[in-house]
Amino acid sequence: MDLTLNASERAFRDEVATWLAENAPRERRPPAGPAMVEFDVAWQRRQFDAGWAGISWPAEYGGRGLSLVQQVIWYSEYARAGAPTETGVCFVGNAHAGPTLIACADEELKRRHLPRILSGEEIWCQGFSEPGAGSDLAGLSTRAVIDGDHLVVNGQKIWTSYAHHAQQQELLVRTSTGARRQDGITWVVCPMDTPGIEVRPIRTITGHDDFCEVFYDDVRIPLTNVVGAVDDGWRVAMSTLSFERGTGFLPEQVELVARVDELVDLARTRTDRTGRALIEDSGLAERLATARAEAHAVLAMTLAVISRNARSSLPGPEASMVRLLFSQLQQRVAALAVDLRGLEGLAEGSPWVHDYLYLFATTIAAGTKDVQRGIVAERVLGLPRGR
Amino acid sequence: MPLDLVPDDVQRAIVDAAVDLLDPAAGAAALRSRGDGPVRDAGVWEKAADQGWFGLALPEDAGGLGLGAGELALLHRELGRTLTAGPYLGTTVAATLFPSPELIGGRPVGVLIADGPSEVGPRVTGTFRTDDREDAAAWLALSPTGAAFVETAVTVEPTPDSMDPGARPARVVVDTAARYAEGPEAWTLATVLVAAHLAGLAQGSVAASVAHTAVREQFGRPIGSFQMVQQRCADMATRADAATQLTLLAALAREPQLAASALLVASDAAVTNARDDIQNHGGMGFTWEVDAHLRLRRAHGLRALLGDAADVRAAVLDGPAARAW
Ligand SMILES: Cc1cc2nc3c(=O)[nH]c(=O)nc-3n(C[C@H](O)[C@H](O)[C@H](O)COP(=O)(O)OP(=O)(O)OC[C@H]3O[C@@H](n4cnc5c(N)ncnc54)[C@H](O)[C@@H]3O)c2cc1C
Repeated sequence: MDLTLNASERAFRDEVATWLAENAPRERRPPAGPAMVEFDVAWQRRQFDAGWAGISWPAEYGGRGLSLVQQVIWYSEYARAGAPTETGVCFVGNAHAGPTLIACADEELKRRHLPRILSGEEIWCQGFSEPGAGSDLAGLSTRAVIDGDHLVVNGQKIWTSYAHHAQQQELLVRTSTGARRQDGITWVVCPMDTPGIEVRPIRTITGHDDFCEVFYDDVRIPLTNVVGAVDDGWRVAMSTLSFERGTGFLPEQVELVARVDELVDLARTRTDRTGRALIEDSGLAERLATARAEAHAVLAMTLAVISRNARSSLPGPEASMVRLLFSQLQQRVAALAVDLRGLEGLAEGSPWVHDYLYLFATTIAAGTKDVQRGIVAERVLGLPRGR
Repeated sequence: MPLDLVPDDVQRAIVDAAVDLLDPAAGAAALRSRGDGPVRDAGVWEKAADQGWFGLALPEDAGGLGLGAGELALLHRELGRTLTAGPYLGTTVAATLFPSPELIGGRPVGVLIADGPSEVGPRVTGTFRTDDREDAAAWLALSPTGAAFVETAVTVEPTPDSMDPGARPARVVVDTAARYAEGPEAWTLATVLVAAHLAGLAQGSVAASVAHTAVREQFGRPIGSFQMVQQRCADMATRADAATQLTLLAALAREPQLAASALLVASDAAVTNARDDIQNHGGMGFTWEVDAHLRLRRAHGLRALLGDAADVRAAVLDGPAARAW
């Protein structure tokens, strides 16, 4: 238990803060379309050129190999500099596919893809969920059969974020049916320009096309694209999900503190019909104070998770508690941002309405809040298994 | 390791020593019997002083153990988990601010909080409230801007009993010169230690619910396998973890806004978890026998100790967001 940074860490923080102050994009991220893709890729490229892409990746794969403490410093300064914390089109490559390839793929696949992920040349998407397999991912049924040195894929994925912008996909397919439903799944790199793939964007509650349905009709993928072994994809996929439930949310978490600050300032300057500052309203003050206190708590919980992870190689299930509080807090803060603005808060196309609607995803994607609670109950608390 | 929120071996040893010394069954029994006289168990108190609890955060050359507020927070969390009552807060903060062999040795100090017109400075005057009327041999008047060590009060007049059986409330009139320490340090430390105690209560409720729901069977299954119960327990665990980690962070940062935030989060965790724990115990939860109501009672009492909800809110909202690192 210790919060102090040593001299070299303080120097690192200053270096990071200086670079970010000079290089983080100042304009707001466009919410959709080619402008959004261009924005995300340009920012990825700028970080790559300066050596700041893949900060947690080993140096041999083009990453920076930062220690956990340095990562905390980088992510914190990143958010404090106002750099984009939205889940951009480069997110899956940086945070899911890349780390999975590093952990489980052969050298050939690593050399082919990792540098392009870091440089922003390759956008990746995640083809896991299916119409019949969401929370119950092991129920997936998109089939692949081996034909010579290829897998032939037939079936459908859904909710695939940015599939319409991606060049590559981390794809889970069923190659056999084993004793357990987790057996017989295969993790394969699927180039999105392979013949037989059809991508249909889905309009979301924000009004933008953020995710897609993806259809596979006799899609032939070389067996050399399989990561891990055929039928061993569940293990490979779990190495990805444990990150998703881990510490990758730090930039958003630090940013949330700043977001609450803006709302506190807004409540000090905005007045109600009688001319009284909104912060004098005890109901609003309570919501704001709780939001700020809980935002601090989320950071403390994340730091505790990181501290534990520094001591053991396997991330523990405690990250699900952070996720549970953080995802719901994000939604409460977004609701406050709307409520504090009165009628103006309802303006379609405004950033706060967009956030309010967009953040409904936080308790659904990457394991719903109900699923997270189940993990806490059975894996953190050790309660008897349900069902 | 820097930026680290997990207790190291030395810090864990402090927790272990506390667990050995503090007996949850005895703590609960004392609260349940609601006797008159001092709240503290004299035997435990003496051993705690011998183990250096009150001077934990003082440098060794001042007679302390050379540790810090983080270690104090771990200790006070154990007080909460074990339902141990007594003037630990006032004595610890007084010994830390006004070190002396007597205080480090466990001369019990009660906490005074302004209650009406009053002044906390080199001269302390006015009306205060306390929960320590039966235990205090001296007083620590606490305010957000400073703390004063008061040897004697003019009057100590009991006020009606609190629902918190660990409190012996009184109205205290003071008019005396005092040793005074200006600055927010004492208030911040006291806030963190109350939060730590509340976090311990919240954790105690989680442990009690898990222990009960894992073995109590209905419909042929342990009730802890029912999803509704599991989800309630998961929310309890999340609240307790939020309270614990934020309290430790605030203790290490020694920063007023983080401390107030910890108190807010820990107060909610302690009260809400105690309520959920009663629910998880069914009819048993409604009985005097089961400890759940003791944690609920203490949680309400401690939540109100340093001020009301509006005071805590104002402290959390004061200025821009604090940074811990
Ligand atoms: C914005 C967004 C982006 C996404 N991006 C991707 C992506 O890029 N790639 C990808 O593969 N997927 C993606 N997803 C899909 C996401 O992973 C799934 O939506 C999620 O796993 C939930 O599955 P589902 O939608 O089928 O809902 P369901 O599993 O049908 O859940 C519906 C409701 O039932 C509850 N429920 C289900 N099972 C249980 C249970 N056992 N106990 C208690 N309650 C239960 C859930 O909590 C939920 O409230 C994305 C989703 C969103 C919203």
